[in-house]
Amino acid sequence: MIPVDPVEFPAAQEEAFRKARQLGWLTVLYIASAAGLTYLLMGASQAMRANWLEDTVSIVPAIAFLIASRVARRRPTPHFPYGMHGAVSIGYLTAALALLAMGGFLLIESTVKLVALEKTSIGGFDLFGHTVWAGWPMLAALLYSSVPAFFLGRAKLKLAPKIHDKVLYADAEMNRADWMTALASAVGVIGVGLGYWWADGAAAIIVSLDVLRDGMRNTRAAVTDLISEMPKSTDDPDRMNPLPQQIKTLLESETWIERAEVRLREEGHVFFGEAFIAIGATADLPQRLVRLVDAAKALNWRLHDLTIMPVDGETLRRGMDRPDG
Amino acid sequence: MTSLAGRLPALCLISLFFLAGCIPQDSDDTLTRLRDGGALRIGYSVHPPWVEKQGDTVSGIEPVLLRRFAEGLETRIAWVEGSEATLVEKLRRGEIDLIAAGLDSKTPWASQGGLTQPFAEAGGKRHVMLVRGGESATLYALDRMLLAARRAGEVRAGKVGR
Repeated sequence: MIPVDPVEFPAAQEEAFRKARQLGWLTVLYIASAAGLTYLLMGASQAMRANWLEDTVSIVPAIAFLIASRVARRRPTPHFPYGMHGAVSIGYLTAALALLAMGGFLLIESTVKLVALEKTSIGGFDLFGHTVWAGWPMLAALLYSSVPAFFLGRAKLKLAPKIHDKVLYADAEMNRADWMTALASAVGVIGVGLGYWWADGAAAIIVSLDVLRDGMRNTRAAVTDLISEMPKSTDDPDRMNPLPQQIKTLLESETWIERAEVRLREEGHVFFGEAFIAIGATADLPQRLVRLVDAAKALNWRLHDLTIMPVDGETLRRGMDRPDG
Repeated sequence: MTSLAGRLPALCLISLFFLAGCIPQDSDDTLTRLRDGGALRIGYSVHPPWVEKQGDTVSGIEPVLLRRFAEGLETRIAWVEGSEATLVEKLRRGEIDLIAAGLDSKTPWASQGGLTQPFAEAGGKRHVMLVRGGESATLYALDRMLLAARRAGEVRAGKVGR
């Protein structure tokens, strides 16, 4: 049994990865404190309650990132010869499913409340011995749960493309959802204060639609990763990753290779895959293959392991041209 | 994204500054009606010592507090007796303004209106009243009065008074 190479990130990515983990810890601490504060102030407000539930769920991607990114870097062992990169995909699916469930739950709950004509009102609140309108501390809590999320999300979006970590992307999107929903909740609180009792529920519905949409998109991406869809661009799910085509071009530029077909699958940050080549000459074949594997890996640090398999031209045409049949 | 997001906080702060003066408001102008001399319509359910009835007179802790609230607004009280369930129905239809029935903060009726701040704690329960939903200004006015009474330590041992 030959375990794959344990090397993971180049130096520049290593630095980005370290920063991302720091941001992850910061996010967990910050969301925990924001959720605690919202819980103390939420009273009967539907939008505040939605915001609190969102806080609690929005901690999941950050935790999933911290766990998955740690496990994924374990060295391959004889029992896990491909390493633990799949942990990233599992963490991504966990985060996406939590988002999806919560979005659905919030949508149903706030719709039912709005349809039942449960009119929200916001009264007084005892703040250090003074009575203030409870909406003001609610707005302060919402501000606290939106401003840091805004900056955390932006910092993560700068790092995520460097290390191609989808959990980190999901986490950044969660931060974005956080500050947007907090803003919607603030509109709800002010609306109720102005006598528009439905503003609270309406804001909660907008919040839930946003969470639901994030959940659906991420769940779809996580599932297609797990069933080994050909890799797509990390930041644009509509574009294919160019690496398989680059490897094919590299192989076919060799005069002794008549034709090449490449398939890759994504395992967290890295790619594994096979290349099938139809060859003319067979002299020094082992040395040539080793050289080609190294050349292919040099194309992109994410290509972690490539197996090159010589086959005859007829098999290659039959087997690779018609993946459906 | 940056230009819009950069301006949003400033826009929000400016609009809040102008809004601050007119928050909170009622969706059905209950407080304005009371200030104009309209009766404070209180649904009550006997629940000693919080709400009691002696002959035709409604008494107890909550009525004492609510009479003070009505005096502050310079209006009179119209008492409506009923079971909690019928009172909640009336509250939802806007036939009464609030319910005094010895409710505590865990009441199952909480979603049918706005709970006041607790004005007393007894037997591990935080005692509240229920104001018609959507009426934030009325709820806030009552909360101010109730919290002031609680801070002064006026409600204790089943009685109101210093």
